[in-house]
Amino acid sequence: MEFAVGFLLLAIAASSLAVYAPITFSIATVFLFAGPHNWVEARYFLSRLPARFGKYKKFFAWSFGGIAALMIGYTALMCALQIKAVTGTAGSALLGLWNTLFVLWIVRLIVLSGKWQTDRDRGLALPFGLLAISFALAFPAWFGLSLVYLHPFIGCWILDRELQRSRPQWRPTYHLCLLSIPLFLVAIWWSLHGACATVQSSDVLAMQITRHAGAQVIPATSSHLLVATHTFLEMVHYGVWLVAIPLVSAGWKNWHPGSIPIAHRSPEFKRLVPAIFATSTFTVVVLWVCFALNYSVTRDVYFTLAMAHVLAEIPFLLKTIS
Amino acid sequence: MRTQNLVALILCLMAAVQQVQADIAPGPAPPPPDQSLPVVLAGVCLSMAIVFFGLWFVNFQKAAKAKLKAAGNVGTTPMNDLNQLSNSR
Repeated sequence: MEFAVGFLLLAIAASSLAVYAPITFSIATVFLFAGPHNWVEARYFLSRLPARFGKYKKFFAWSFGGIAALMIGYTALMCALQIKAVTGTAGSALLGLWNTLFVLWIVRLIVLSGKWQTDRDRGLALPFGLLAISFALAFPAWFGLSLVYLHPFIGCWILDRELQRSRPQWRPTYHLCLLSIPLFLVAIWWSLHGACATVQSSDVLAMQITRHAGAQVIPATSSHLLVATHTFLEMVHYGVWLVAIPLVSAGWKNWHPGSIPIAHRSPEFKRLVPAIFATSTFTVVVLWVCFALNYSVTRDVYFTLAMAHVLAEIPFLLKTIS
Repeated sequence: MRTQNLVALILCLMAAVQQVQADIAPGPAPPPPDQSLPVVLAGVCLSMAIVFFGLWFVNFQKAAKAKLKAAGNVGTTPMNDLNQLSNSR
């Protein structure tokens, strides 16, 4: 009951703020929660990694290798586009290649994750992957935008798996909470429908935020509505990672790095895990300082580097549902 | 010493951020990229997806038939055994 009340209060507050002050709310949420949510996510992923990979060795090798390779490729491509080292056509082709490799990587992970579940029909992974690649090649902007809007739901899915593992009695309530998300979205669209609600895009930051929400991809739709929708979903995502998952997985009860299984793999890992904690904490502080110094540039840099956590969520989710 | 290092780091970051901001000043709009090759490749992928869906469906039907056949065999075997038993008597 407390879970449902908390969820609904957060959703009501987020949707109201997203409708009445979308740009300010977007700036505030990213400033406050972007770094800490990545910190909690990294902490949670580390705590759920097994000390020995055993039969999952190949799956984890593909996961880590894919995350590293795709991340390097994405960052290099974004930097090259930013400094205009590649032309528009070459950039578009490289983005298409990246999207294709990204989908193929997911297909490979699905096939590998199905290995320890004999009754799962994984023969559909490749045809669905090819369908996704054809969509990504024909409509690259829509593919990118769908990643932006679908990403918050991956956190919700991971929370569902965690509930099944830790608090199965909370799951029906959580499912009802999830069903309320479309209602909130409809309420946002209804309240902004018809009004000439276009965000003033005179300054660079407002343009950046509206572009991120897809204003260039869907120019016919009010940018106010797009930013409000995106900010609301982002806030739900931050709520899931910063409140719900630590609460459900009892993450706050044990802060000690020694509680993480992978720390017991070897003496090197025992030293590495606290180092990861210290570095990630320092990164969150640096991110806040950079946001305070220059929000616009830091936001661009952050969302480029944040692709790493979008990628990391995929193998993690596949492992939890396998 | 650590505080000095942190201050130096923050100053470096500030300089880097300002440099990046200067670099990304809006310029003239680039020409629209050529879309013919991606569309052709998308068509190829779509065709391959249809072929693989077809293959999956054929395999699925084969497996379902084999399962049905196996279930049928299981059902008839005791009857055969019973008939054989009654004939022998």
